[in-house]
Amino acid sequence: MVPVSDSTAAVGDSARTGGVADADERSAVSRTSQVLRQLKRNSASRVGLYVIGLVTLVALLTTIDADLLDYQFAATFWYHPENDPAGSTILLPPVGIENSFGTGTWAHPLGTDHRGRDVLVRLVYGTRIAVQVGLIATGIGMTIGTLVGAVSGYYGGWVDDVLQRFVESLYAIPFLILVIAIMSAFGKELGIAIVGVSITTIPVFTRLIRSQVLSVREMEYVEAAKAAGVRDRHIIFRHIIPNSFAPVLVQSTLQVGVNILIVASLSFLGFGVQPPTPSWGQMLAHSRQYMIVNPWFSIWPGLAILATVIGFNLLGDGLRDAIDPRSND
Amino acid sequence: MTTTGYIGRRLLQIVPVLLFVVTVTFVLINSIPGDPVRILVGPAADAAAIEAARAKYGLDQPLYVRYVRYLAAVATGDFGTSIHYGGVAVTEKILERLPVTLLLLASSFTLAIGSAIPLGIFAAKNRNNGYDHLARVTSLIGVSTPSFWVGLLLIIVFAYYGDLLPPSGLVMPWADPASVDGATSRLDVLTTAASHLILPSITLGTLQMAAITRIERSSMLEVLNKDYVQLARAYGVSERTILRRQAFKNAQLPVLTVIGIQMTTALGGAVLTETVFNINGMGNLIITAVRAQDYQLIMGTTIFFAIVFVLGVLVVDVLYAVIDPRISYGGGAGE
Amino acid sequence: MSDTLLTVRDLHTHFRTDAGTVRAVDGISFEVQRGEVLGLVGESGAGKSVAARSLMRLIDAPGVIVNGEVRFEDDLLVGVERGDDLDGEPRQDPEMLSSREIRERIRGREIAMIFQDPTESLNPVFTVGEQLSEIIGLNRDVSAAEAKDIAVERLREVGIPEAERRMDDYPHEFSGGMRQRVLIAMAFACEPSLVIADEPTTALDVTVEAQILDLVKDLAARYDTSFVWVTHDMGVVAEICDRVAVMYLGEIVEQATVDDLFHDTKHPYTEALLGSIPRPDRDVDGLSPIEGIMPEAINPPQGCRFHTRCPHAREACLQSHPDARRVDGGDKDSRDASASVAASADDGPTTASNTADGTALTEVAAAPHRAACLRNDAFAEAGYWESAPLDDAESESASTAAESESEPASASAGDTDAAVTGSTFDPNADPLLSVRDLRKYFDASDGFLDRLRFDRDAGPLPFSVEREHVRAVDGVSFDILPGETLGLVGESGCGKSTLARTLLRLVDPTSGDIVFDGENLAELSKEELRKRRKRMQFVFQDPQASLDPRMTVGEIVEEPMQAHGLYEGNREGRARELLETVGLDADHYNRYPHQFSGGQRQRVNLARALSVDPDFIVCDEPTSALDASVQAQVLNTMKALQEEFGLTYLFISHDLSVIRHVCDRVAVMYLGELVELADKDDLFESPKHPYTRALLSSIPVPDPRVSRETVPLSGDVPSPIHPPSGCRFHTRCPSLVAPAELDLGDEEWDRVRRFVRAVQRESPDAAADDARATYFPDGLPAGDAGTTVERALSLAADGAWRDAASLLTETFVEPSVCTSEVPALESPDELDRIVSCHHYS
Repeated sequence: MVPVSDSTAAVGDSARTGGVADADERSAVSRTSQVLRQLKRNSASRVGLYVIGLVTLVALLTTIDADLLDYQFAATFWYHPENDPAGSTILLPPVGIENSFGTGTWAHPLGTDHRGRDVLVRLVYGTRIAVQVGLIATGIGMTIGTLVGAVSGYYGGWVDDVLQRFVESLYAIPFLILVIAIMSAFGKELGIAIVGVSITTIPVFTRLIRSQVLSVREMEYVEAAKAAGVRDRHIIFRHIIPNSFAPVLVQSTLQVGVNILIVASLSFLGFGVQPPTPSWGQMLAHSRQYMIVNPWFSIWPGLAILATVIGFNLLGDGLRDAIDPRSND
Repeated sequence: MTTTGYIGRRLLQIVPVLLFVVTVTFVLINSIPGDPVRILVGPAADAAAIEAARAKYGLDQPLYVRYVRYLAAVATGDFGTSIHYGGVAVTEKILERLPVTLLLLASSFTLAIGSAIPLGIFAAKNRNNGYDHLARVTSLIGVSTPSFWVGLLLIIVFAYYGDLLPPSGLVMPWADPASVDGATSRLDVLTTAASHLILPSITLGTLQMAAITRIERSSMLEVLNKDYVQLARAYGVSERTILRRQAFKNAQLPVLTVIGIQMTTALGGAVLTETVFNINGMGNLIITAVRAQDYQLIMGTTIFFAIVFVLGVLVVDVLYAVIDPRISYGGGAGE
Repeated sequence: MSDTLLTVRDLHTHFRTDAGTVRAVDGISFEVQRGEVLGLVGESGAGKSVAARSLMRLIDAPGVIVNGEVRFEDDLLVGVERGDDLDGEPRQDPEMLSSREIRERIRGREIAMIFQDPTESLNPVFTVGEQLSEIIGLNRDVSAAEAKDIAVERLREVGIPEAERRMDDYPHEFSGGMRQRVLIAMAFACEPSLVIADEPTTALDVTVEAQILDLVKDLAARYDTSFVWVTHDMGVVAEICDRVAVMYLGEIVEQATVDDLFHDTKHPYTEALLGSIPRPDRDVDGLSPIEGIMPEAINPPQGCRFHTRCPHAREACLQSHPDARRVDGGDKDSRDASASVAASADDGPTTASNTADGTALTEVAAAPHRAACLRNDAFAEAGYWESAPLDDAESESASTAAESESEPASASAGDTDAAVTGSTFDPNADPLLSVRDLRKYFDASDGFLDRLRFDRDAGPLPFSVEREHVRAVDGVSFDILPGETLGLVGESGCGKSTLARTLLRLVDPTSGDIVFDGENLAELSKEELRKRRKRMQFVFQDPQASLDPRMTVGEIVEEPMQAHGLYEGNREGRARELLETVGLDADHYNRYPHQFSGGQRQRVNLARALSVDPDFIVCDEPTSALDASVQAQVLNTMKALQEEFGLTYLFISHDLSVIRHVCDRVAVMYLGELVELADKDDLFESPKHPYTRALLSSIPVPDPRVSRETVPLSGDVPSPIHPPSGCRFHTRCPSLVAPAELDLGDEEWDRVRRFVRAVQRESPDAAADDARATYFPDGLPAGDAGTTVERALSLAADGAWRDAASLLTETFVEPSVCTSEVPALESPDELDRIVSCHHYS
């Protein structure tokens, strides 16, 4: 390359390069296939897809066959290692590492927890909760949020005013506090956690889709449909929603990651999944007391959360880039 | 219109939002299944005691009466009393804890903003080279990590293994030297306070820092591509001046928006951080309140969290108006 | 004798993208003489903007200047040699300025730039004064205070009123035209030798464009500044340029003096370009559009790049790629194919050229005329005349575009000439659409809280509620007759688009009647209205935004039929048929909008509009997003369709040339009101309303031999929230009716006003010795007025501006009828015309 161009912040502007955008556009067939092709080309989003695939697979397998691994063992209390029929030791480190409780063995590749349960097995079963809750809560929040936002944005007027005030107020309570308040009122079970997280997710999507609808509503093709005499109902379902949906798709992918983090935080605080059901956040909460003697116990669940959330973030970022090439970094 | 006028208008807009927050909280707490009086008086009380308590707390009144009374009380700053803390006024308890949480928030935001803005700009400037990739990967990890886990790791490394910083608690820099362990002078108090503040601030600030770095980078890149930056180049303005002057102010507008959004995450994060580091702030207060089923305290803390958030967003909005002349002149929402 | 300022030789700027290398600029050579305005003309995608930016090395990745030399006076701005291998390592000339040198010595100091979009070119968060002073301080060796003074002076010079105070204003407080003036002030503030202007007037209204062009001409002459003026508008070229280079697909295909280019055209592309633009000054008998669309710069056609669209293409054009050679019978050496580019340096402007028309040309205009077309004698060896013409089938297959934009099948029988004469409607027929006192006000604020204004004196709560309205359409009445094309013209913001949308009730009118075929649309229920929509359709401005990107063309065209339950069972057949009717392929049925070019998309829009057999179509700026050559195609198609289906059009445009070409009658709008409505010929030949006159005089005519006389319009369009009292045009009107009390003639009154304005602006002309002759060539007005002027003149001469101004405003304060009374609509002559102006009442 010739260093003739001396602008360091070199940002390609398709408008300025004349035919570039056009050329790219005309060779493609439809936007969906274009987006998919873009996704496949982007190695970061491929990694994201692999991670999500793996996590989902693990979650599915443990749901289909609950006894795939020794669930009883993983989920039950062992009040004292002496009661442990498998003869396990508490707080073992991972393979090949030594601590005051012994040396890690292949029987417990990642070590054991404070009750002598296998950390790997508990992590595997924790996957199910994380993925399930992340997906369900996001799904509920997205569905309700999208509907409310679309109605609010398309009709405007007082409907919009009231809905927006309501959503704004939901948004004004920091979401973790809101879920905690909800759970303090209705109970600490997982189901309530899901509902709570869904509710905090609603405003995210309402705001997003509303702003989209407000701009799509003004697009000339919507006006063109109106001018042609197309009914409102058709306009909403054929033009407005399909053309507003791309950012919602991106946000839902990212939101699954966020919601997994929230649910883990809740478990960490003692809300949500109750022992002995394994969950990542709760494992971290338990590990706090053993940080000095076996720090590994604190590391694995955190890594599991991190990897899963990164997966969703990578895919979300990739989707955004593919849908709107201009947002690309 | 002036900036003052703008602030006035924004303040006025807060009122309905807070009214709604109080309502939502009230409805939520009052929809608790079972009889709240039983929790108030304890399991041992007899029927007469329950009735007495019901009358005392006005719980024999219909819901809307209680709602109006609560609203009126809240308007005067009265959030009721805390059962768990033996009848202390909720407001008093909150005001005692609030400075701790505010200090933590301030310090973590300072850390996050102070490091994220230069990082993001540097990444934008070195777009697509090694440094940029590193910054992008780091910030991706930052937004994907559970903050409480960061806290645990920091404690393991710096408190237990390194023995460099204290693993828990927080000391207020304005505390009386006599009340602080091993402190004899103001300077001692300050150093102790700082050493206690470092790990929690990093814990709470990681996510904010990562999120702000990401937006700073992309917003900077966008501004650098604007016509007015191209024009500055065409008039011989150096890249350095462009970054520091022409582009900087504009690029901070989306960053401010993200900081506003991060406020809600940060308040949630404060609860987690206070739990991890055993800090007696608002976060710990609300967890204690929930565990003790102290409903007046739950409502009070929830509403206070909302107030802190709304005021924080207001500050961001005002800053936005200060930077962007198009806002305060009221000629519409700018671009 | 040659005084060459800038020399560009064989410049190539390419963009390396995933899809391939875009050869945006591919071997261009030209020179700019001192004091000359060189036009760089071409359609979008021709590479003219990239070329302009390459001159100062303002190219961002993935763009790279791969080869070429740009020499400015003694400095080598670009010196890169690529050799034969496009992708090989290029050699840099050691003489080439470093990035630092070019930044510190050239940019701003020697060469300044003006961009197209004045809204985007100023930084929104700094005041205009800060931005100007900074640039001046950087590029001139002056102190900060001096820089500020220079800034104020320049702002005054470019005609910004109250320049000193305006320094502290932010860009958003200026109108588009004023912002462009600020940018011009910036360009001239550094006293550069060369200004590169990239479509500087494209985003502006014609009246503002005329002001800016006059300003630039004036400044360029005063400071002896050269220009490279990038534009797509042949009218602007004729208006301002001395010499022109025409670009096509990254190459300069023709280069000549402006007069030669227009009157001795040597390249078929230039010829075609000129043939495709409608004229504002006369009727053109049918536009001849250029066939097809410009191929992509990734894979330019072999041989002559224009051969795919050229009506004269022959076999030889496929074989050899013509370079630019002298075609004016000058230097014969330039026939040497390989050396011809370099030869441009040698042959200079000394050779006589055939500028025989005797137009007063400057010395620089004697530059050689070059063209890159085999038809010229200079290319005898290519054997063009001996080779066989390409028959249609062949040229079709050679076309990379393959999406022919040919005439619609039904209208291809050469009837474009007939279409122009138009007027197939009966002027005495009952109107198809009749609009009475139509108003549309928009709320200027979004919601209740946005209407709150902080107000200390408002009582217990320091807020007051304001309700403001944008009066977009304010009492408009007119008729549209069946079969006619009514033109609606006005500047941006005059309410013409709102009027169009209100007519079809896409937005509900605030008040007024819209009677369509005897039925008042304003009173219909939503569902009744929906059913009526079958008869009236809309074609939008932006061909891209008006097609849903997620639907195929077939679905788009069928949607209205579905909505009205028409053509049940045969919709696909009907859609395919319509696509052919509008000049597309039936096979395009399954394609998506993004696979089409702008012109083709607009045809899809037409097909959709036609799908329900409407009587009436509103076209809102249907061609303003298109290039000239494509615009001609679409306009011809619309004409043909009107004939075939007996359509009635309301044709909205800001472009008076287009209006003149397509309309039967024309309505002129200003600030929400109709100011004049007349038959096209009457309106264009003898406009009555001062605004119409100003508007007509502002359009640049694409012919350098036609000199226009501009009626100067001062200032900008006022806000439609608080429109001026009386006649809304009075704030800008050049010919107000004189106040009755003063006993002045209208012409004298105009002169007095001009003088008052000059005194208020503290213009040096008003203090000069010959001020009296300048402002009052026919002598001072009689009576008191004359005495006052006399005294003001002497005050001004002494520099007592303030006293002079207050004296004048005291005497001439009387409001004229223009400022106090709304003019009625009058028919001033026997013609079928209405005008809203006090001169005719």
